[in-house]
Amino acid sequence: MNLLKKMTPLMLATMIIAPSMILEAANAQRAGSENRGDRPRNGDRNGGSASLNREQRGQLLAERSFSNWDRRYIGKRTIKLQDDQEIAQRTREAANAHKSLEALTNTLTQQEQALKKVQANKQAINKTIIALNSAIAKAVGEKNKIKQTIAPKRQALRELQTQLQLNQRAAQTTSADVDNIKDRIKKVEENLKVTQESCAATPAPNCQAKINKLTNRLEKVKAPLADAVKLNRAAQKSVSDSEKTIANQQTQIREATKKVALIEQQNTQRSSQLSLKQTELQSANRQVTAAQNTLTPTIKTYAQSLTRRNEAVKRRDDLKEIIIQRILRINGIGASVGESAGGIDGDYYAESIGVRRGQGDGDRDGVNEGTRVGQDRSYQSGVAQGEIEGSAQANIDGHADGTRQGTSAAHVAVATTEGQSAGALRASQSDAASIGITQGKKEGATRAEATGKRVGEALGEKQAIEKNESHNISSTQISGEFAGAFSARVPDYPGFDCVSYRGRRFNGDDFGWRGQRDWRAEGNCPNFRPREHSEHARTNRPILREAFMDAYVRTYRQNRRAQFVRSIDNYYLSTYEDFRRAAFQDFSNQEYPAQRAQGRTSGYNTNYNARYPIMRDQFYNEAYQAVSANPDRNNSDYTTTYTSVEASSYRSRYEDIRVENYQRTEQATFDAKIPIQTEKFRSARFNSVDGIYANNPVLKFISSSVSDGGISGVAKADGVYQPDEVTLHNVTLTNFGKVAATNVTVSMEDGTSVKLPSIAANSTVTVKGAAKSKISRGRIGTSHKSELKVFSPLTAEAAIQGRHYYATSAAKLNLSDNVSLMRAYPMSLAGLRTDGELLINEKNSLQLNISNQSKRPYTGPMTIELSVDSRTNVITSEFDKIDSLKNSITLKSAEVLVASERDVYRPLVFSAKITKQGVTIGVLSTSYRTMAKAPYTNKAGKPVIVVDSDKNPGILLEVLSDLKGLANASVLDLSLSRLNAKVLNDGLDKKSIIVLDDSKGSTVAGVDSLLKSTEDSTMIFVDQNSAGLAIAKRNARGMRNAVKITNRLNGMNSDLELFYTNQWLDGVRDITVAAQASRENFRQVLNTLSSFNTTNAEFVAQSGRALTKSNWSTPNSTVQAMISMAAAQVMAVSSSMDQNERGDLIDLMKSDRLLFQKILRAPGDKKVKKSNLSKQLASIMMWHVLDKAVDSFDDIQDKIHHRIESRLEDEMKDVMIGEGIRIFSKGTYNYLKKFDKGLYNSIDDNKYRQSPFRL
Amino acid sequence: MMTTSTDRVHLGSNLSFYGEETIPNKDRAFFIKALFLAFTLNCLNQSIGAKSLKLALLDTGFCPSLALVNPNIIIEPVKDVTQSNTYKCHQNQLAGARFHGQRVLDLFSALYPKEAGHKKIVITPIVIFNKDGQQSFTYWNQALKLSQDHAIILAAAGLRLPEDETKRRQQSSKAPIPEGIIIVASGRVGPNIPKTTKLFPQELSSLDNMILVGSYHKPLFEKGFALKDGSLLYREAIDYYFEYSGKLSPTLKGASRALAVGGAKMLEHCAEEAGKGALDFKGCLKKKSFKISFKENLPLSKTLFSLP
Repeated sequence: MNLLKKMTPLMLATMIIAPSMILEAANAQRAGSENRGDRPRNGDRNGGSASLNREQRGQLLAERSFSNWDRRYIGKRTIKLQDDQEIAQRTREAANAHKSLEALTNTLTQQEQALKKVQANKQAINKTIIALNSAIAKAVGEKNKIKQTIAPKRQALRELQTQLQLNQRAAQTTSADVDNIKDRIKKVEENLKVTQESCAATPAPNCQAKINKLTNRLEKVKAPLADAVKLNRAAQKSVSDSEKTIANQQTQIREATKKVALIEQQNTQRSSQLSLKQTELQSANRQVTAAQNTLTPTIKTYAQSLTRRNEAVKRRDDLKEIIIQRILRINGIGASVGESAGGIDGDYYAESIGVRRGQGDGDRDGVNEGTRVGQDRSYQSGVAQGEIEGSAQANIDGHADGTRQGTSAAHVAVATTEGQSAGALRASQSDAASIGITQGKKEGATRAEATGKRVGEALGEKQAIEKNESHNISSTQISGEFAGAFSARVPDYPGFDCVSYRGRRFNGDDFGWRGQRDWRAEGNCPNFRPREHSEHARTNRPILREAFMDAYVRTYRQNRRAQFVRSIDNYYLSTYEDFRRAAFQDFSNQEYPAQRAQGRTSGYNTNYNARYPIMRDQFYNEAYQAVSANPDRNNSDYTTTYTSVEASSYRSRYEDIRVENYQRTEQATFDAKIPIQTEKFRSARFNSVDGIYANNPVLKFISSSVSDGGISGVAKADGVYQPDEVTLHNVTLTNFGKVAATNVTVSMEDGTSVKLPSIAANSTVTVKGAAKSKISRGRIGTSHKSELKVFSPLTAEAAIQGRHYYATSAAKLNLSDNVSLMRAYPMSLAGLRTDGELLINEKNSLQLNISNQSKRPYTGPMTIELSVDSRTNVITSEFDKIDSLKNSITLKSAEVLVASERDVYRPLVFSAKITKQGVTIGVLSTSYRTMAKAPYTNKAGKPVIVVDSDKNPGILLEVLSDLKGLANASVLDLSLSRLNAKVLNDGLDKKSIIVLDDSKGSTVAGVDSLLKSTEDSTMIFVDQNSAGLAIAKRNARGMRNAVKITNRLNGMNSDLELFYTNQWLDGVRDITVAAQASRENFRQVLNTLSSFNTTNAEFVAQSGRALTKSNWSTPNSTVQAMISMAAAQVMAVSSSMDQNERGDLIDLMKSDRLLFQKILRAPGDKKVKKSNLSKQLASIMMWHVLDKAVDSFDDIQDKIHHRIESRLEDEMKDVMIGEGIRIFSKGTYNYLKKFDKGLYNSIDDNKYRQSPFRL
Repeated sequence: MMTTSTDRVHLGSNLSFYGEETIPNKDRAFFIKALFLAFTLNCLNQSIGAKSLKLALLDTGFCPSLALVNPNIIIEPVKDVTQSNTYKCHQNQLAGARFHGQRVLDLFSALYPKEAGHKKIVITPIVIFNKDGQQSFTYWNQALKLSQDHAIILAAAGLRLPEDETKRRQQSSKAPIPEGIIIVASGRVGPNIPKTTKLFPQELSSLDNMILVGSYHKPLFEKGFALKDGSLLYREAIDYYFEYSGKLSPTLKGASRALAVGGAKMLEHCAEEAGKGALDFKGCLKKKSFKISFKENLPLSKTLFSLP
């Protein structure tokens, strides 16, 4: 009923036409209202977007910031809040909770978005449905409206049709009227006509009357015609009008009907669309429900997670706050404890150090000063005593000595006076003048002056200083040396050094630590362990202890120093003064015998020395005067003195006079004679020398010059000296003599000697072409040393005639005129090269630059001679000849073609020279070295060398030479990557690949490319550093998971590490065996590893033929390679297993795709027969080796996956020993025993004869 | 600078004789040489005068040959006003009070800027302690007379004055005080120097050209507090404070070290002003100085300043 109430009239109308349609629309509306009803439950507020907004998601508890927590922290913070275990734990919890919330937030957001999406979709569908419904309803309304107009129109039509019938009938009537009239007119006219004709034929009087009558009648009949016609016309028009109206009406009815049909058709379409959308709506509804169902639990989980996270964050931050409060509190306590302890310690140290040092210093200074003063006193008293003693002794000694000395002196004086007089008299009698006395006077005066100056000045200065400095000194001095130079003497703050303790203790001790004997942790060291002494530091939370210590250490240090600084002066100085005073008193009052003795001696000496001369002089004078008045001339003093003084006086005076006379005479004579003598010798010598010039040539070498003379006339005078070229030398000489020089010769560096034409007298002569020589052969660019020597024999005094000579003894005019002439060619050849890379069978042009280095242009045909050390003729065309060359030219005409492999991959050295008339005038200075390359060609059974020939041509040539040339190897040149692309891509098959690397990984890309597709091949890395394999292992994808097994193979006398590429992990097609070899042993490795270039099938076949009853114990390369390969395959599978736990690998172990399985199954039957003995022997040998290797061979035992190992062992044992736990059936090995017990026993004793590994 | 330009004018007028033929060639060559020499010397004097500052350093004993090399410092020969010292300079024997002066000189040289562009300082070391390690007024007066033409006088020493104030004044008034800036260490209590000690020239601290330097203990840590040196003399008169001890030249401590450090720093900042006079110099120091912050205040309430 409700539904009916909600229906609009239009819908009712529509219902009549399309009842199903309207029902669907109603359903849709209901569905919408149901959704609206769900809204509050799902949080879908506006029907379309159903997501949790911020409020609905819940409040994320803000994390409190603790960045500034240590603002009030004292000391250098060594802790972090995270150092606290509980904080760290809660931080982790909070972080985890936050992380999981974040993850949930993401999920929630995704799910909300998904819901939003399906809701949007649903909304879109709803919108379409509503649109369709309204369109349908509108169309129905329109249709009804049209239909309502059709019925009246039909009614009108019917009426119109009735009217038409009436009109038609009227028209028929009028038309009949007209026809009637016309018929009557016709009858009348016919009558008239008949009458007229009959009258004409037979005129009768009544004829006219008849005619007239008839005419009148006609007139009468005719009269109603016009009206009738008019009436008829009107009637006809009415008919046609009615017809038109009817037609019009019919059209309208038709169109309305058509419209109705169209609307119906459209509505049908809409209905079908509507039903489609209804279906979609149902699906969308289901999607919305599903999304909501997904979202609901997530919202619940999210809310839980959010609560958990907020709680965790709160727990963490609360704890942090508490801990921070406790840290700051304990830190503050630490600071005050430190302050107190520091103060105590500072004072303690100041006391300890200051007192001790004050004692020491004061004592020392006091002792020093006291000793000095005491010693001085002792000394002074000694002096007083000594003075008395000295005076007394001086009196005694002075009397004795004075008398004796006076007597002697008087005798000596008298003797001296008399002796001197006598000697001097004797000397003057010998003509020695008294100039000595004059000189003595003069010198004495000079000396007196000099001495007086020196001594007097010093004395005056000293006296002046003394005078100026002596007053008031004592009153202004600070006692003690250097007092007043203010460098503090108090001890330094000891820092954190320990000090030795002595002295009193400081009393301030707020924390009572002093009371404990052990308050100081380690003797007299800084106290860094207050926690042992303070309740405050006792906490089992380490972070608090650290906080305590941080502050403690800081304030402890500061206050310790501050207190020290405050106290030290006092402690030190007071102690110092005390000790100094005490020591001074002690030491200044002591008796110092040594000083007393010294003073006594000094006093004695002083007074003795003062008294003694006086006394002595007194008695001396007395004696002297007495003796002088009356000398005893026989006294020994007299006689001795007289003799000696007389003689010395004589000698002295005599010498004086003699010297003086000598000097004067010598000078005078010299002055008088010197001009005459000079002139005499001058003139004689002049004549002699002049004679030499007059009668001889006197030559001087001036210069020489050189020019180039060419070779057979070629290359002459071009300023360039080439080997073998003639040199022409000009010599210039001057002849100062009056006679021509006729015997001058010139010798050259090559030993040739030429005599020059006569050199005219008194002239300078240049001899052109005086000598000829040749540039010796030598390297271009080096110098030829030209040495020109000129000789002329000496005929007169060498010193004069040869004065310009270099060496008169050899008659050589010059040392040697040396000119360094650089060997060069006039033509410089350079830049010889091919146009592009030299490839086999590809023609290439050569080019060469020639430049003229000489000072003149060259003409005439000049030929370029090219040569190359090829084995075949590779130069197919020579350079064109040159007609003239002034500056330079580039030639390109020559061509080269390497057509034979004999000249490929070997150095080709091109040289060139240019000749004119057979004379070489230029040579290519650096020969062009190149190498012809060839793309890879397969050579069956021959190894393939992989190399970048551009980077490593040297080793390529060496290795090729080792392999006896290119005939025995193929070269896969990586520098020809384009030409060799196919080979690199397709890989190689059953090849020994020699990789030549350069320690720079030049081949890695090529090797990697090859590894992908290469099959059944070995790869041997050869390089000087033995690094190629390691580089490839690091860089080549195909080698990444290669298995390494150390092999001891037949043919190798040392272990060989082999790497087997892993086809299950590294995307390679097959296992390639790789080994590192050196230049020395690579051929051995090549030979040994050739057994590995084998397919699995060939391994089976070959090793199945290799062993016999007689040779099974001799190591066989094929069997060894097979076993090695089988082991490598298993290891590769195992390594793949390690990386991915894959069941298919276990299946692989059971399948016959692996070599070991193929070998096991090759005999086909476990029973040993003569026909399958070889195969059985191969599999037995393999079994023994592998079985042992997985248990004890280092490269395998620890590295093989246990599942692979047990599978391998199971597979082998099943075949070899039998199957099943209880061995239900026998295995091959049992059958061997049955087949040949002797053989069985031998093999059982020598199980590993074919082992490729050292087991 | 004005003098230099006048000289150039003068030189120009002298050079005009080049065109004259009156002076014979030989004589002219000599004249030119002499003129060139005069000109060179003049320029040299001018340039040294403009760029260098004369400093007298009064102390116990010096060995300039062993002093630290500083390209901006030229050390003149030592002047011994006591005429008594015969000590030998040997690298390994520079310890002891005799070479207190040498340590002051070394530290000053080490701290004064070495880069080009700083004012060159010509130091005249003057020994005022005789061979017995004693100083006297006579020595001081002679040293002050020798320092008359010096812009800066540095002394990390002081002469003990009589206790009697009248005598003290009498003595002090006799001293020939130079016009240059006198920077002296305040002095410090020590052996033989009690707190009551009066010192010369510290006693003259009220003179305008006198600057007193004291020592203080620098903070141990970046944010630690400085400590005052409680044993300084003339505390109320001290103008600037510098480090009590340091890693460089560790045996030089107290007021003497403060003087060496302070002297170098004052001249590092205000060498230009030092050439202009005490007023400019003190003004410059005031601008460059900073306050030292102490945790505690000793009886002295004055704010303490130092230079960076």
